[in-house]
Amino acid sequence: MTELEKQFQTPMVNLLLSIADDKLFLGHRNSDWTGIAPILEADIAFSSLAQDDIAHASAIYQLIHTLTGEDPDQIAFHRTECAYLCADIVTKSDDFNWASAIARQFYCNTFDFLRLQRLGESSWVPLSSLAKRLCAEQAIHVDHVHSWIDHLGKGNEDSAARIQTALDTFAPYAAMLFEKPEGLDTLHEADVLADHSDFFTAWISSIETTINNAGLALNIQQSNNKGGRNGVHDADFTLSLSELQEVFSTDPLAAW
Amino acid sequence: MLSKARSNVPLVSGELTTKEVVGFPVWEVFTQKKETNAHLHAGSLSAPDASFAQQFAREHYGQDQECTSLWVGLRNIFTCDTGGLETYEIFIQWKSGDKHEHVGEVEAANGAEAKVKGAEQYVGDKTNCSIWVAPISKLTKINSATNMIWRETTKQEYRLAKGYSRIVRQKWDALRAKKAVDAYQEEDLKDTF
Repeated sequence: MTELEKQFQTPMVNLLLSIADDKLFLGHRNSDWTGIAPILEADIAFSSLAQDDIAHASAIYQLIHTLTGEDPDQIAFHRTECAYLCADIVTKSDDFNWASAIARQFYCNTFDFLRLQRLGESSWVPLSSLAKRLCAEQAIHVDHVHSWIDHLGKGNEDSAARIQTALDTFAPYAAMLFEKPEGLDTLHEADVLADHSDFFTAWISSIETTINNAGLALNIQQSNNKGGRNGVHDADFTLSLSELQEVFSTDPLAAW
Repeated sequence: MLSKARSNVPLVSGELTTKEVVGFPVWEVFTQKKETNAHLHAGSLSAPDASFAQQFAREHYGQDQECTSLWVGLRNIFTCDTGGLETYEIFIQWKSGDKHEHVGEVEAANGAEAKVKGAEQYVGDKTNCSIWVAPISKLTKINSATNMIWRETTKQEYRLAKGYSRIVRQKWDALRAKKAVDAYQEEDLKDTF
């Protein structure tokens, strides 16, 4: 199907916003490391991956534009706080602790890969084709961050302790990635998307091998809380949003 | 006013909680822009091991232009005379200042023999060439056909230096040519740019 029926438009926009917002804010957060990452090559690589995430977000805002006609820049930058549907892990501050940045990246990248893989099977062709293309690139991010987990876990006692602490600290936020945006069940019921009730367990099995091989432990519980996907955000998100909107609120028509 | 999101940015890298690691080995990276092109020396990087060298090379050298293939090897393997009987990749720098270019391969008993054979087969009468050889078993080769390097799914123009046009360059050159900074500060900058 290339045309999305009218009744699925709002749930689809919610779903697309949740993906694009995740990527926009994660890319934004990760770009904080440009210039100050612990080693030069990690700095370059992390910046490059952050650019990718923002490019992915842009492609998804563009897809939303085809449904709503809204300008992609307006969608990205000009919403009120509760209209952003990212999970708060993407804006959760790493306090310039590299282990925290890697833990956040690890949870988000692996989740995104699985999410894109599943969206690649959607019956709505514009979504499935975009998701498949993004998924190929997402695989690179996953490879990269798996390397980091492996190296930090096996590095020495200090690095292993730091990454374990970071993984544990970010785990409750990672669980919130799985919160459903409003209307997702409608898309499942209509077979626009297959129902992925095994999403959480599939994700766990996709990451626990890497964690265990690195000598680390995965301590994470499924959550039913309401949060970012339903527009309920924490203080770190609010700070991130105000920073992201600084330029846009100064000059909404700026082009670059 | 800037938001407080980054109020705790470390001012200098030394203030980061992780100490900078020194003493990583240096790796050389070769990239191929199109399948029909030779692999050219792209540059070097520091990394603790082959796995990270590969990851860093992909982002550092695989993302600033189209890239269909990427080879990574420890710096010291390219100039090494020792080694075992195997295939050696031959890289030649035709004249000083050029990049080393992959020209082919030879079977050899060690690096020294590979250099001699490489010179015989690929250099001919030319003089002043620099030859690097690398045992194939010590190179990490990444082929974009099976392992994506350059991402073209989304708009990637921002990664390329295309926006830096000849005209902008000329303007900068003109500014730099002026003897004193004050001289152009006195001018109307709007006329210059």
